[in-house]
Amino acid sequence: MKPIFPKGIDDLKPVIFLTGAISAIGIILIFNFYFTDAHLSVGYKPDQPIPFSHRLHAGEMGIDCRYCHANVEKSPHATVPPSQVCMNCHSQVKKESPALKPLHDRYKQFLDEKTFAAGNAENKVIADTNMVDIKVENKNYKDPLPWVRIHNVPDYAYFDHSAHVNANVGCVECHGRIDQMIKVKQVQPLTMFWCLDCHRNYENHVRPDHVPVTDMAWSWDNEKMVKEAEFKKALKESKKLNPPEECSACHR
Amino acid sequence: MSPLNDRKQSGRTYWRSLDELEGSAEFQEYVQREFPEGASELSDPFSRRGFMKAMAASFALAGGLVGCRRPEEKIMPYTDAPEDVVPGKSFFIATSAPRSRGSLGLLVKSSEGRPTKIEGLPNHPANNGSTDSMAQADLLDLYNPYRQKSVKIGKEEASYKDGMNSNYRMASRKLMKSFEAKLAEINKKYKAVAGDGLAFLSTPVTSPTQIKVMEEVRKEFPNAKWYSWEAINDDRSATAVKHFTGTEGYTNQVIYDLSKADRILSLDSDFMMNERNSVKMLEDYAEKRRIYRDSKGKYSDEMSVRFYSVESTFSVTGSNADHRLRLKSGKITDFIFALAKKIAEKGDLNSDVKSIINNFSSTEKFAGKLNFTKSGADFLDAVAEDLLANKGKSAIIVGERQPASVHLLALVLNQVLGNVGTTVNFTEKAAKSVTFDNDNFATQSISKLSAALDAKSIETLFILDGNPVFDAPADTKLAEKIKNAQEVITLSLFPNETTEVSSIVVPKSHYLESWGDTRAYDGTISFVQPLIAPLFDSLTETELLSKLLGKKMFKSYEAVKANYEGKSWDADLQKGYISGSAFEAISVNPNWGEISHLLKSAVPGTDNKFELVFAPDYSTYDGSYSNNGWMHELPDPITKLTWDNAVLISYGTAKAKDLKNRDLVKITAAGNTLTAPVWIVPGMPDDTAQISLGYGRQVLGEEKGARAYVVFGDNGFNAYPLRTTDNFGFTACEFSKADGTYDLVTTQDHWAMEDRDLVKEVTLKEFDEDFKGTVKSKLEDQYHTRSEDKLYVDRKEFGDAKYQWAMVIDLNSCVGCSACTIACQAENNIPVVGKERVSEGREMHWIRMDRYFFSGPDSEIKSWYGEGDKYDKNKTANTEDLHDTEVGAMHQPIPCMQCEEAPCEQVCPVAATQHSPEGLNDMVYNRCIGTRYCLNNCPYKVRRFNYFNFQEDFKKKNFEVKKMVHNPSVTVRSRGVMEKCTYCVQRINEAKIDAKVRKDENIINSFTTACAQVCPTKAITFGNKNDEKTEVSKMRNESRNYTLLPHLNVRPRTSFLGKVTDPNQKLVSKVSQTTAEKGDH
Repeated sequence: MKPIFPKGIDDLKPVIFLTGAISAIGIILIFNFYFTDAHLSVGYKPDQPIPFSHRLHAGEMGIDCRYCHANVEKSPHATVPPSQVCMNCHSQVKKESPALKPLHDRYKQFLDEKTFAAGNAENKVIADTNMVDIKVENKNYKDPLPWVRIHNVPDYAYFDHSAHVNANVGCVECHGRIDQMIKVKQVQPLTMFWCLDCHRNYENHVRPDHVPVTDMAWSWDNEKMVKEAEFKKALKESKKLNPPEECSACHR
Repeated sequence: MSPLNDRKQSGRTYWRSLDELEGSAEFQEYVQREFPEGASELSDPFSRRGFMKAMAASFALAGGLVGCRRPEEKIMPYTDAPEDVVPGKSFFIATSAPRSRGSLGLLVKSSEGRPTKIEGLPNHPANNGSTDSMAQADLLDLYNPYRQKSVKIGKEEASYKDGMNSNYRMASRKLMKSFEAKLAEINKKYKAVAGDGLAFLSTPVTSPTQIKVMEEVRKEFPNAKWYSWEAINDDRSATAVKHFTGTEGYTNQVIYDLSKADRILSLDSDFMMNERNSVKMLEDYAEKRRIYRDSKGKYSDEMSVRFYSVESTFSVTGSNADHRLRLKSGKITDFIFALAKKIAEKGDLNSDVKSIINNFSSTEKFAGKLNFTKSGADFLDAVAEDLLANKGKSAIIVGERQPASVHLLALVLNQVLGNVGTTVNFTEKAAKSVTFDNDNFATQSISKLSAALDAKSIETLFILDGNPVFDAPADTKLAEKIKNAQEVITLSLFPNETTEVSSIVVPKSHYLESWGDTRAYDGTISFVQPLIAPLFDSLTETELLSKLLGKKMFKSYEAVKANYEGKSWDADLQKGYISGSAFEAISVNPNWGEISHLLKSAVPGTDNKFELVFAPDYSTYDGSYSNNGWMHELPDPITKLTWDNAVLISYGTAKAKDLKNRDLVKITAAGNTLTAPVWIVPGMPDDTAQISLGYGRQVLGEEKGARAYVVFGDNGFNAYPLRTTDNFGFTACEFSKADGTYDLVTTQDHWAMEDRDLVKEVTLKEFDEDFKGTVKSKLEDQYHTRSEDKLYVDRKEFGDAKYQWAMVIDLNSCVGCSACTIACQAENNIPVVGKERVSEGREMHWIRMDRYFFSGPDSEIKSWYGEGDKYDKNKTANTEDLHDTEVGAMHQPIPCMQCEEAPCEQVCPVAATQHSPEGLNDMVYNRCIGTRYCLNNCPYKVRRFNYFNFQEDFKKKNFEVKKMVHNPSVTVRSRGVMEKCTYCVQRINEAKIDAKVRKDENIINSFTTACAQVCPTKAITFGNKNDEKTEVSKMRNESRNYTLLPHLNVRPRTSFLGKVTDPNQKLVSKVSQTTAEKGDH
């Protein structure tokens, strides 16, 4: 039988196998490095139903983060604000803006429901069930505003905003300079390695008590009063903060 | 190797099953393998080929790299945010669980707008913070996709095939509107004839608001007929109370206060599980058994209750008795007549009654009846003497199975013993049978209904609750006769046998989605508050009746509020109940004339050749929990059977009839024959068969026999056809062996640990003499010296962290009710796996309840088998010995032991199980690859493996509603993942974060684990062992404290306190004498 390969190929065998092995390892390494959250999630910048600008609201107008994300100090969720909160201003400001139409539509729908419920006495009594009727019978019925989640921690990891905010970890540590973003993007990888890195070296990420967590621009450079090294040492020694490193802290 | 040879400890022998006692090969298999053979095989319906097919499909879907990013997720904020609701934070609402005997107070957790966990309401007089297993399982009923989901008129029903979409909603609303029109028609029609031909059937009602509305309906239709029926009723005790207190109707009830009872005699009663206010009685009983050191290290609190049980079944109550006597039901009647004679002789009693009681034995009908075997007679003497020595501090409790004369005599004896007014009280009845006449007990009422249907005098029948077609006595033939009514309108939570024959079915609101009020057994008014708007278009009883009255404006909330207006409504609603609204105790002057008249005509117990005894089922109760997967899969506390009931017989009967477990038998009573499998339960009286009611339901929803996590149809055996109005508690029957076997599934040998004494007990005498002065554990295993050589790598000592979690389980309090298992299942999103998979040893319960039978000293057990250890079928045991051996059971809950030197952690190749600095053995589901090495290395066998993705069903549109039952704080595990008890780590973390946010150091008082929270007897204590002041660290220093398998040196964090029994020395010495005699041979 005639050999498939010419005889000369025998000499090249080591070269072929070596190249093969190197490229296999190379591919694995490339996947391992670039196909991870650190590279795939950072920079994620989806379109939102309303082009809400954090730079305008938080940066230029200086609205406190907690005006909208009201529960960040007491709940695991920071809470995306209910439409009512937007309407506190936007019932007066930019009433006709086409960009805000989804918001105004939904709020009007809500007011309609409310009027219906408060209407005649009979309606009031059966409002509970008939509210459903409105939703069912109205083909144009709209569900609440579907904001797209950007900072998405897996469901098996239980992250708690209140625990971090109360330990005086600045918003900026995880979310970056939100006050400078027109369209919000993810700036940190949110991987377990990244979480643990902070839990192990927390003194680099926790602020002195008198600095509010919402201060986006703060850094040790503009803090003349307290010496960074002393603060960090005191923080470590007081052992008041004890960021957990065990699995069950986040995985339940 | 036989366990009998191996056990060196004197005293009792403990065994999980007869298989263990015999040392059978099958049992050895269970001990040595982590799972029974076949557990890890793929079997139907997921055949290997099918699995590969499914996998191929999912590979195709994955199709290379469809997306490198996770799917886009949406955040939907409120448009109009409700006040005080913080998304992500759960809160609790006080409500109550309506029961036909008296409600339980509940505190229900609401997460993101839906109820996710039911807990007991602290300080509620009926249950004080704990619940039974049924209240825990109610949550699953709310989200059961097999509920009645729309009004059904004739065959017309809204289709729920595609879930809760607009088509379903529209159809459902339309049907509701046509039903309302129908009600208006009925109203018009019957108003003209003052209600002639109209009838209502309900279960006993505790709600004052509902009774008020019922009275309004009655005013509107004065000639309408009212009936009341419940399968597990209190007719007999109500009759006795009626005669004893001398009232007209059955308006009074007896209420026991066990917190004052030092001696309890239970006659065929299962008061700990499902009679009267069982949770409260259980709590009081356990409180009397509690025996801890106080803060000064002294035992100020003495254990002061001795409990005797005489029963014809093997109930949970009986298994906990200090002395238990098994007698046939008929013989128990005779027992109390004989006991009466002994007590009446020495007691202060009306002379007429005294002479009647004294002359029982000399009358002709009692001739030869009041004799017992030697052990029975000894028992009788000892009990009588003990009760007389504790006058005013004892209680005689009679079970509902016994005839009214026994109940009456028990009340007389309680009066003689001075218990009436202390441990035994009478109050107005909380559960009213609304029939508007005095003949209002259940069997009477259902017979009248049956007669009225026969006479065709009922045209329209409203069934407001219950499932009478399934559970009415056989002789009423209700299933046939109900067809005589032109129209049957049934309000029901689930489709059932009754809705099948109804012309209109109306979905009933679950109590977690309705407004209302209830009364607890003691009369305390509690409120029912909704935690969610009705999921389907459903009504409550009150709403249905109001619609019938044509009240369009009716709203349950306002109706309830109107009843309590001005009585600090808001504060009471928040609290959940109105304090001080319990009924006053009625002072009773027994009507001795009538009593003596009745006692004169009393008859001795029927001496049936073979007796069939009915009992409510521990899983399905009377059949109302038949749609509940949690309850079905919960192993019966005594037999450990799941998904089925069986005919329970004694070991002696099995031998006499040549029966083995799972053999089919034929039972004939009331003209009906039932073919059912037998299960041998040591400790049952001979010639008695026990069968539980409530199984064998046929109509359970739209699909039958569907896969796991929906409830199976066609399981168990229906005993109701054998039950008649006259033979309600027990009946004579014909009992014969039939051909074939039926596959019963039991977990009694599952997770069996290497045989050493795992449950331990001491007598009160030993305890007083040896245990009190010492801090060192006296119960820790003495036979194995604790090895200093460690098998596993050394780990730093714990103690640095502020909290070191530990759990202590007091076997002296635990009665085996298994509420912890269901509470754990609800809290930790544990799936139901189905009967087939339980048989393969794949049940998922994180906290299991091990039950060990015990019997007298070894020598006695051996006499069952003759010489040698092997069970010799040809050699019949001495039946007299069998009677003399007291068989009881010990119950031991086994959660994860959280070993400090955990063997599971050492073998995990991917570090998916790790130790936390607070002493928890953490399990990381998302890291687990399913090698199951950890489980093979666990000496306590507490790890569970997900063989399947039990959440698959939720992808179907019509099952979506079931998803809501999940606790959002706990990961829902997927296929191929190991899981286990974590000491409810989600609660620990939430409490810690809360404390951080509140800047409050003290966290431990704010939470406990789900199992400890639910426990009616407070047997489970959880806490921080680093803090000397916590209960748990005190209990760890008790001299009764011991750990399981200490020789392995894995240092478990969960430890146990040995049981303290208080045997009557008179009865003990007799046992030891016989032992000594036998030892001489």
